[in-house]
Amino acid sequence: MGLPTRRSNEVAGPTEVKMTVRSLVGAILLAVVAFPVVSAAGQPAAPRTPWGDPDLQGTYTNKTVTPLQRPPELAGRERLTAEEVANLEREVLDRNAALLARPASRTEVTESVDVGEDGAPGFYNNFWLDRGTTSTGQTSLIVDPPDGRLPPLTPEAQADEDARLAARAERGPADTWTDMDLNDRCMLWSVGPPMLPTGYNNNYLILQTPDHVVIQVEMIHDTRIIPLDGRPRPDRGIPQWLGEMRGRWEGDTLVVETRRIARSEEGSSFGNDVVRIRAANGGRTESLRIVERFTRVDADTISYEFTVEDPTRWTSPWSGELPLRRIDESLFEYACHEGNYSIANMLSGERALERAAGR
Amino acid sequence: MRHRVLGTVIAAMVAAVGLSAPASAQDAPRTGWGAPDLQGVWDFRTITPLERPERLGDQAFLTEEEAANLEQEVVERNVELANRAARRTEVTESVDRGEEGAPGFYNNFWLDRGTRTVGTRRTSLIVDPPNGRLPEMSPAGRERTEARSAYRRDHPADSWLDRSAFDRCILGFNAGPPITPGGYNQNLQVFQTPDHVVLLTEMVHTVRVVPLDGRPALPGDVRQWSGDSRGRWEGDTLVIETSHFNDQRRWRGTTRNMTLVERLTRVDADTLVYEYTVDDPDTWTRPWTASLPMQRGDQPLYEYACHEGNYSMPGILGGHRMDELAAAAGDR
Repeated sequence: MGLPTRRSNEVAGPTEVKMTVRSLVGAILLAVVAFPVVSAAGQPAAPRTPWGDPDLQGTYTNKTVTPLQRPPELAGRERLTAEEVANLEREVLDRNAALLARPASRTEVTESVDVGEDGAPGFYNNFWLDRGTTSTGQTSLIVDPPDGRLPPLTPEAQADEDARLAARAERGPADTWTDMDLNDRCMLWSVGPPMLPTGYNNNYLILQTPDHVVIQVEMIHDTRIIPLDGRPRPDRGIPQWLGEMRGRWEGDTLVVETRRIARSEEGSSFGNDVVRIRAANGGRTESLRIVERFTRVDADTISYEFTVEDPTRWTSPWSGELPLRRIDESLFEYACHEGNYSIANMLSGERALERAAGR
Repeated sequence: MRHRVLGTVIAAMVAAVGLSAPASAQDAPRTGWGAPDLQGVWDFRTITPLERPERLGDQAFLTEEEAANLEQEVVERNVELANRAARRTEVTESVDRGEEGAPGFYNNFWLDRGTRTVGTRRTSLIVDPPNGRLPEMSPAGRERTEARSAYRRDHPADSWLDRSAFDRCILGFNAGPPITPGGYNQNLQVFQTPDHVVLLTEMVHTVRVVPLDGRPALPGDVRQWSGDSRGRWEGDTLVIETSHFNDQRRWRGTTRNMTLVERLTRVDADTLVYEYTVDDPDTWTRPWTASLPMQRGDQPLYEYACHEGNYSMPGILGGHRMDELAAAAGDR
């Protein structure tokens, strides 16, 4: 259940193979080197592309009920027991069934607006969500800091954040569309980096060529093009929403390092967490660095690990991991802008409130 | 008599060769798994128009001198427009007609249409019908186009839904499918795996992921802006068939029933010939085919920010609301 640790991933890695065979007879060494179809541990080796790279290709989902940050009541615990996982997954299934069977009810505008409660005005009812029913076994996707929660902001970043919130409070909740999160604006969603699960369409297609990796993200049909050819980063960066990505193979692990991500004050929602990975931080663009690691751990699973580092924002880097699980389905176009009546309604709703208040 | 027959045979052969991209490309590179390698960045700028200008009649090719003169004219116009003194533009009937520097359109600085004719010196990208022009519209196509024009006259911008998918930043106006030269950001990047081809067009960063594994088409009720594409190799040519377009796309007035066959052939290290056939009996009386040679580019693609800068849409809608208010005030 859950993710193998990084140590177990390395069993099939070159270093470990070498260390293991050193204690074995030469004939086995020759066999392993000549026919790397079976690893030293006796497990079938990861499939390869025709040109010899580890083959990560396919369609995957990362949906999970495991939250990004560890809930306070689970403080001090990194993993759930097998029984807790079973109970949690059962609760999710029971809740889905109960909500589906619930008679239609009239919703009222209450404080629950925008809190993301099932069926609240301003949010979907459960039918539209597809968050998965399985736990990774972790108590949080964040594995470092060890408390499973985002690290504190630096004092400078906290001051920036306070000033930003103060300036924000001077304005209404929706004076203009640029007050809204990138998700609300249909600019970006689960593409990250890091690529984290959200309410629905948590589907990814990975394709590889000898010198590029292409990751199509169904939500909201963004595509990441990651060069593997060792091209240098330009002296002067051009910030882009998806950043400047560079990939490389470290053993059987695809490592993608992204810098020069376009800054924006708006955050991105990951489940119930809004993380301001792109927070403007005084316009600095060079300090943010995100490293992702993709390792196939079995025929149907890729381990996805990530580290976010910005010493101008957080007091320490933070890392997480979760599995990408193979699905046998195609990705489809995602219509975000086409159906984004919400943004017009939010803006006109605020204008109506202003008129009612006589402003 | 004999000569005439031979002449006809040769003409037929020439026509056949002209219609399909070169069948074999011995010099073209191949992928590690043996497929023709179409990968890289391809620049599809050209000043050759989709349709042959009427004044050229049945002239299918420019002479070398004509092509050189045309290219020189474009360069000189670009220089002249770049050096022209700033001037105040006035709202005139030229709005929305795409005239250089007109209000509602870019001045020439922002355009990047290229300065070269296609290498074949064809007078049009359309190679079939032989007159180099779009075929006659079918009765259904004409009726629908007229109704649409009438609607657009009366309702130019009641809602964003009255504007094109290009104005709405849903699709890039040169990204197709099929890809057609125009405007700016005329770059295509191709990626290949043994069982997929990925076509990334820089404009509005649209990506088409084309399976090559022979999987069946989508159910007929699943409709997408870029349709549903299936690819296969015919010799050294990648053939992509696309259908399942949605109702709102209206690419060149077409319907959801439009089908598209694209043929990509790398004829040498620096040239990717992109040929496509469009068929939509609800629009035209016959299919038509265009051929566009793309040149190898040496620059990376960048993100395209369409929505982020789409102040035109609220500008267009706001302008029309102002017109309506002014008209209502005039009526009183």
